[in-house]
Amino acid sequence: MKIQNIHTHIKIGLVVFLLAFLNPIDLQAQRFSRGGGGASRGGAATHRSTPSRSSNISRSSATRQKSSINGGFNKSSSRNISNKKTSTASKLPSRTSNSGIKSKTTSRNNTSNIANKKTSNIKNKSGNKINIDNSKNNVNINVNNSRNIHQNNSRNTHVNHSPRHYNRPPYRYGGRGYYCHRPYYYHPYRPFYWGPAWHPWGYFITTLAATAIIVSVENQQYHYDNGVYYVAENNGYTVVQAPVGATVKTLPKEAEVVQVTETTNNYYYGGAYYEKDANGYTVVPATAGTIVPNLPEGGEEIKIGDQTYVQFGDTYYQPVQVDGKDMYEIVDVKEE
Amino acid sequence: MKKYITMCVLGILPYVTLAQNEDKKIDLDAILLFDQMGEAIGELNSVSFHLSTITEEPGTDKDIKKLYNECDVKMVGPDKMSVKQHSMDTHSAYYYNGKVITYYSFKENNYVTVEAPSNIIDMIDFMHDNFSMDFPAADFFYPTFTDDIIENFNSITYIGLELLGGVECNLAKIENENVSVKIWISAEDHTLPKQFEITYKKKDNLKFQATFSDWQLNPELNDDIFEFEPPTSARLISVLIAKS
Repeated sequence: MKIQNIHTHIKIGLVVFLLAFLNPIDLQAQRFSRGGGGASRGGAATHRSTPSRSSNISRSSATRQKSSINGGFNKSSSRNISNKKTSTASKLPSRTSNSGIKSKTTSRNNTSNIANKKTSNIKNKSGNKINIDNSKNNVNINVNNSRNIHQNNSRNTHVNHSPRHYNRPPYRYGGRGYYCHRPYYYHPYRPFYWGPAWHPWGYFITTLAATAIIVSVENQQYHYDNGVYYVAENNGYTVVQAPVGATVKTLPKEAEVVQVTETTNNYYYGGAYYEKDANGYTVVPATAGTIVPNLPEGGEEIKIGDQTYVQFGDTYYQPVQVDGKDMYEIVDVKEE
Repeated sequence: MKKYITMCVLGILPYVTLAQNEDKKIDLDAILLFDQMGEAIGELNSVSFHLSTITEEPGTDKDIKKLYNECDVKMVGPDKMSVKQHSMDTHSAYYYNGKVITYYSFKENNYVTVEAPSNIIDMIDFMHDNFSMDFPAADFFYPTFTDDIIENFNSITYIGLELLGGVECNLAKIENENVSVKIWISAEDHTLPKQFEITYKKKDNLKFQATFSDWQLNPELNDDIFEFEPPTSARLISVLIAKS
């Protein structure tokens, strides 16, 4: 009997606990007093704590006055401050009138046309998307496992950290620091074409040129021709990202030298980075801090806070300007 | 001794200590002032105002750099809002029509549009939580403004009347371990905020100041101003969710 009572108490406690978490009030709470920076909100916040709320604050959408900008002012009933009397006279000047704000009746035409509105792709690092359930006023985050061509090209997009110290503070957003040596200088992303022999990732052809050679990396065969890597599939060949570790004897003449450190250079062609050694040119991961003049097709402009980067899988490129020319610097993204 | 205790009690009385806020100093006059302001804002069906902000940041030579920003805000309850802001570095706007919200960068001529919750307050929370996007002085428009202050500040004090920009204002001060905030609320006509100033105690006492002006109460605002029509060359781009 005693055990049964304990179980009952545990169940009730669990239900109360869950209800507390499901309370929509607790899902919100960006507030004046969050304690840090956030000046643009006028709020005092860099770190946002979700304060526990007294349950008698009534602020559900269902009870809002529909025409008010905020649903009408709410006071916690348990506060009961206004009924308390102080022994000293109030210093607050007596109010001569009410707020004096009288609402006008306005007739407005609802011209919203969401059906035709194209929306942005919302991404986090795992490619999740957000769906809004307006009926409940909360946000469901669903994992979308369907991948488009850009996401297919996210292989081998790991970035090595920059060996150079950053003198410039990072751009901070969402618990990450986006480090760059050069200042942000926006210019629109315009994919570059390296010439008629070059093809962007995802491009499909039915036959290969006779000059193509086979390159094997980790038991995967690639066909390499003029700086482009193909994988055989669907009775043809699809262009893929240069596989890290692949070594080729020659690079197209359009390949450029890019500086990685003061003593190290890479060769850059078609969005791939190569190190030169006695055997030829070996594909290596990108290194943060490297500046490249152009980016291939297959990237995606993405707004991160106030700034716009170009994203290829895990590689983020910050638009910069060098000697008056628009370029990109590989961003060092660090969890903070 | 008895006299001493009596004096102490009288001295403490103006600061009501609530049962749930045992360590807090709460001045009833300030609470009344905040309630009056909250009620005034809660009565609004539509509003527009201008906000001028000054943000202090540490400079490169241990000096203090001041960043200026000008915002125009328009709202129609419960689900329309537009914000246009302009500073040295930023020229951007938000358009919220009750269904989607668009952030447009004039400087970069690109924009993000996402589906949004169906009222202004939930939308502000949504944008803050998911994209770290903030709205100017949004805290004042939360319907639980006073309760939020009581919950999150240890000291709430009414200071008195002060003239600010030719307007007689009631000044209140709120404080917790992180910040000290002065709030000037108009004592004339309408009980609306006039200015606030945040001092960040743990950040070298750097300040943030925001001044309201050009309040228009219940103006007629056409729905078109909350609809974003992208310029022909503007680019719709993706947006990264802030949460790790």
